[in-house]
Amino acid sequence: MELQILDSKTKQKLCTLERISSNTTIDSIKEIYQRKFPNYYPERQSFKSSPKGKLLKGSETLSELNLGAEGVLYFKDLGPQVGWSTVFYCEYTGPLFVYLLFYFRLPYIYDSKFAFTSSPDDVVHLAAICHSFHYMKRVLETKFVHRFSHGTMPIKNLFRNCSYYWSFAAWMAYYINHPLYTPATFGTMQICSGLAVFVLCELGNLSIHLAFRSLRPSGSTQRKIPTATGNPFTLLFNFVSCPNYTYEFGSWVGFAVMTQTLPVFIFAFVGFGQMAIWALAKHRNYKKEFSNYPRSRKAILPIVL
Amino acid sequence: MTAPQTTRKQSPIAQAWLIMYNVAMTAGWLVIGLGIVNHFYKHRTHKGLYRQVEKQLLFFQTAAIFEIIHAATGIVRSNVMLTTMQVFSRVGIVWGVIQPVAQVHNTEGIPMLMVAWTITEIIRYLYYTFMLLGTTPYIVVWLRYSLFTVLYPLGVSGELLSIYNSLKPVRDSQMYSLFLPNQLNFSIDYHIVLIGTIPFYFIFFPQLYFHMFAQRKKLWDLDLRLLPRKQTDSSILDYLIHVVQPIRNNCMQCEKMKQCCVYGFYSSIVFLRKKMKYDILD
Repeated sequence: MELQILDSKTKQKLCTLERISSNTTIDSIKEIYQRKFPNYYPERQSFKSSPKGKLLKGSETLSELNLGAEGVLYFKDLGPQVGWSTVFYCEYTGPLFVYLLFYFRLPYIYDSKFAFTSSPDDVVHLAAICHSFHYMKRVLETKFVHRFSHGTMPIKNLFRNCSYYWSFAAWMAYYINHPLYTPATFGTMQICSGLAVFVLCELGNLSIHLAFRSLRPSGSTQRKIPTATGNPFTLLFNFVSCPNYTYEFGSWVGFAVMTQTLPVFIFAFVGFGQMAIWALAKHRNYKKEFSNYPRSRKAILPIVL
Repeated sequence: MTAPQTTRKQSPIAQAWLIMYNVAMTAGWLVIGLGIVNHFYKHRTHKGLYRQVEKQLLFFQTAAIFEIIHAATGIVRSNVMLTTMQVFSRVGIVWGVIQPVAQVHNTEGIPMLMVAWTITEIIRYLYYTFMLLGTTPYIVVWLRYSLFTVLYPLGVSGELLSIYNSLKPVRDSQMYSLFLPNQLNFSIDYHIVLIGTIPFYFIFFPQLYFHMFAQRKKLWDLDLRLLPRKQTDSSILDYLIHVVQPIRNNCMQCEKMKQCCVYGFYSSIVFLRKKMKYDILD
């Protein structure tokens, strides 16, 4: 059949693809389209069967779409794309470096007499270790643990995400490493409990990521309800759909209590807000997909949300 | 400022409330307006003006917060985010810059923003009241969509001037600020925060200003009886076209036509003329 490609906004005809068989997938269409317009790599292309319809999945074939004899597909350019891994590496290595700039008190950040000095408080050194550990863990997870179902995202997300992580890292680091930093009001007890919560939640977060990875072996497309494994940290699955977000929030709260720094609390809550939105969406999708999804489970906070 | 309220299938309670609200706000700003006029008549100076109208201004400007609730509950068809930004910027100036900083009260920015705000708000709330009642006199519509061209820049200038005048007193008094060391390990310098708001004026003012122009054009396009289309060739643009026409005819034979600025000038006038379907320049 003949396939006409129109622009989804202007409805102008972009090109006509000839001799397309009806069991061609959208992925193949994208490859053919790239041969005609070399600038548009497949990740940047999106097709819809109606101008305001949903984006078509790569595996759908033309026959499934009921296009009829004169096939028309609507094309939308998603803009320059960048890989998810690339974005994660950028947004996570930034805070590693940025925090250390403040930790080592590079010149021009604080008063010149404090340049390259070291804080007398132990908790400041502890905080640097914790913060760096957190982001190092994230970088390693990106390399070895995470499996991404989407390949790419629009490039403006890279700038937006990096701004978020890097700015907050700088803001937190500025106060924790400040020469006028005040350690915890309740002393060692507060620092230790904050540290304990942080460590436990980091381990919990890692456990959940590993559990997600083993939930679906690579290559398989089978979707399963996540459940607790042998690892006790995964027991949180019995209470929430996205325990990784719960643990993440817990880590930052622990870090905030340990350092007793308001910007860290603000970071924890802003992060929670975003993660709650994601968790609620995931929770809704789980419930829609699995009729036997456990009813007592919540999205991100046990019992509450 | 925001899109006009519409009276589609609305609950009578909502309608009654909105009418009462808009009437009350119109009356309130009229009182403020009278206060301003009275002050200038008696004293001929802007000094002491703020103190004269302070209580009414604080009350009625703060009452604008209701409009956010109206937009959020849907009884008014306005964008919630836009309304919130506009109301908060006003309330922020009043409670964050003018009211707490006494040194600003007798500066030049105050009468500027008072006049701009008062006239704008009286007309705006009057307009909404009439829209709710069903019949809107042409004069009110015309005032709302014409006076903003002068009042909006006047108001913004007054606000910027007031912020500028508040900087030194704020820095000296260290008001609304927190410095290290403290238990929260946090610091905020209100003086810097105020400086930080200034760029936003320059970012948002053009957008909002031209948004009003677009609203105005839409209005004229929608309702032909508001402004009849001129039949005669009497606008400034037509006159310019008339003048440039002979030169343009020469241009058509010239090889370098597309690169030439004379032809460019002519084309832009023709383009402008086409865009402004109704002669407002007359």
